[in-house]
Amino acid sequence: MNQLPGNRPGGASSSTKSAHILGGKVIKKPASMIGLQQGQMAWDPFADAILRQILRATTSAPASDLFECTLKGPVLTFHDSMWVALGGAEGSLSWPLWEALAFSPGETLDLSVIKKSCRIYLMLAYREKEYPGKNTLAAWRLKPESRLRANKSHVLEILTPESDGEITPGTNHEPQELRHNFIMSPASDRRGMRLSRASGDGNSLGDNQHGGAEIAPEPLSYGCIQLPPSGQPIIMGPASPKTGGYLRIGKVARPSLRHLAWLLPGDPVTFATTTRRSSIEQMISLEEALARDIVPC
Amino acid sequence: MKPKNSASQKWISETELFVSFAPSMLTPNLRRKIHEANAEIPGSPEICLGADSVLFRWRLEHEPGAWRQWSGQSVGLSSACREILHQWIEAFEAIEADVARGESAPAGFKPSQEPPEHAIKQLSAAYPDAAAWDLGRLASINDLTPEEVIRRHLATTYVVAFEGFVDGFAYLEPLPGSPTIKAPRHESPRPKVPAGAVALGGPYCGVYPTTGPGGWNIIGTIKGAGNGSKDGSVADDWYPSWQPGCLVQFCEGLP
Repeated sequence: MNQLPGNRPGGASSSTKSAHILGGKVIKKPASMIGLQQGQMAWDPFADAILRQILRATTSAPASDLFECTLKGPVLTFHDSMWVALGGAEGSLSWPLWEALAFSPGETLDLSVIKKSCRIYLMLAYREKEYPGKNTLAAWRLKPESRLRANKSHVLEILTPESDGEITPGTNHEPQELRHNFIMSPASDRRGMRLSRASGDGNSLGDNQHGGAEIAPEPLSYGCIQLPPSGQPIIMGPASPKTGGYLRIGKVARPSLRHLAWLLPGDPVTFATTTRRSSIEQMISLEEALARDIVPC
Repeated sequence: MKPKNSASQKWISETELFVSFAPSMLTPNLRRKIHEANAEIPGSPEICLGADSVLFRWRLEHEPGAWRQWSGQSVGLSSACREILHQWIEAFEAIEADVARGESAPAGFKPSQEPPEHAIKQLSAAYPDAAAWDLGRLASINDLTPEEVIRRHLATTYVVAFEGFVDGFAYLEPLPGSPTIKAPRHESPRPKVPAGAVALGGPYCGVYPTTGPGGWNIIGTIKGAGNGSKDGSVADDWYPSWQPGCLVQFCEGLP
């Protein structure tokens, strides 16, 4: 049994729901786990890519599953031998992140250190019996110094038109509407992250030059920024509506979705501008780092 | 009308191409063609249709070199999309012209001037005070009584314009000549609107199939809503199967 700090047999939360994973009941979903999305780490596409690569290198198992959880200190109980990779969490944690961890039946992963709602990424794969390193805690990991580790940032880059006029980021691109300091609202969820003006940064209500503007419903996607007449922008989340009729004023650049994924209610948010070309170059750089930074322990 | 002057396209993100059409140019025939023919577009993008716009979204796999490859591809994809769309627009315009001259329409093509052929779908809804959160607001904006707002809504025949917003949601457009109700969207969308809510937003009417955010004006509830599946969605037994062109009327029933 792994003697992971914080790991203890049994001790699952008394208030749980079953979560069906990999075709069987592998963990239980404690009531303190607010959201459990299976299949894709939609919030942070790069966490998805990193964890997939770690587990692919560790297990070569085709059967694996991804979980994106929003939680407050649950205890996960494993009923099968599993590899688990954790893609970060808020706060000071006592287990290694971005590594493949081996769990045996009955072992638990105690996340009780987490006191407030945060997002975490788990990827699970069945442990293969013949795996030579099965008594090894971690087999492959992301280099500690890798810049692929989620570094929290409160500055989100948004796309602006390039000089050749190739793109126009929104129906009415109004970057001045995003020049303010914002706070992530508690009303945010997977569908939309609502921003309110930071105190001392003017009154958002009635301060919007485009108040009342409505448009024919337009397609939306993760990262699109809408500006309702209230002047309080909404950044579309990974489960955003497919279309909407509020003014669309811009789009969070793809590399900044990583930062968006880690913002919590109450966090400050500001915007900076970038170009599509620069954003694609950043993605090329990130994918090269992904190939380079996952190494055997 | 020259098609090349009628649609413009822009990259709105690294992998998303937004095409904006002149109002009413995105005909049901063209919508259907775009929706069904994504495989004919290089890279088979995901397609999302708005009222007068289309978003093509290419999804890159997390494979080594995918972004480097994409950076060299996207300019060509933009040109290819422009050409394909223009071909389709011109082809449909030619068919419309042929039909106007008395020639028969090819299979699957529905002339845009032809009235909807579907039977009217009746949706039973209730308008109690508890569910009509914004009836007073609309009455005030339109200088009508709440009863008159409901009367106008019930007297309107809607046509399913297109599906969007969330799965199971359709934008219902009043047929020409219907009584008018001004329904500006809320200053800020509500984080949670109940499943089954009947709402008016801009020129449209709609029924929220699941609990979620919404900025439209809620005036009632579909009969039977709230007894749906565990995820908050409405039960399938009354969940309408929206078909563009289908006619819809609301009738008053008990909640």
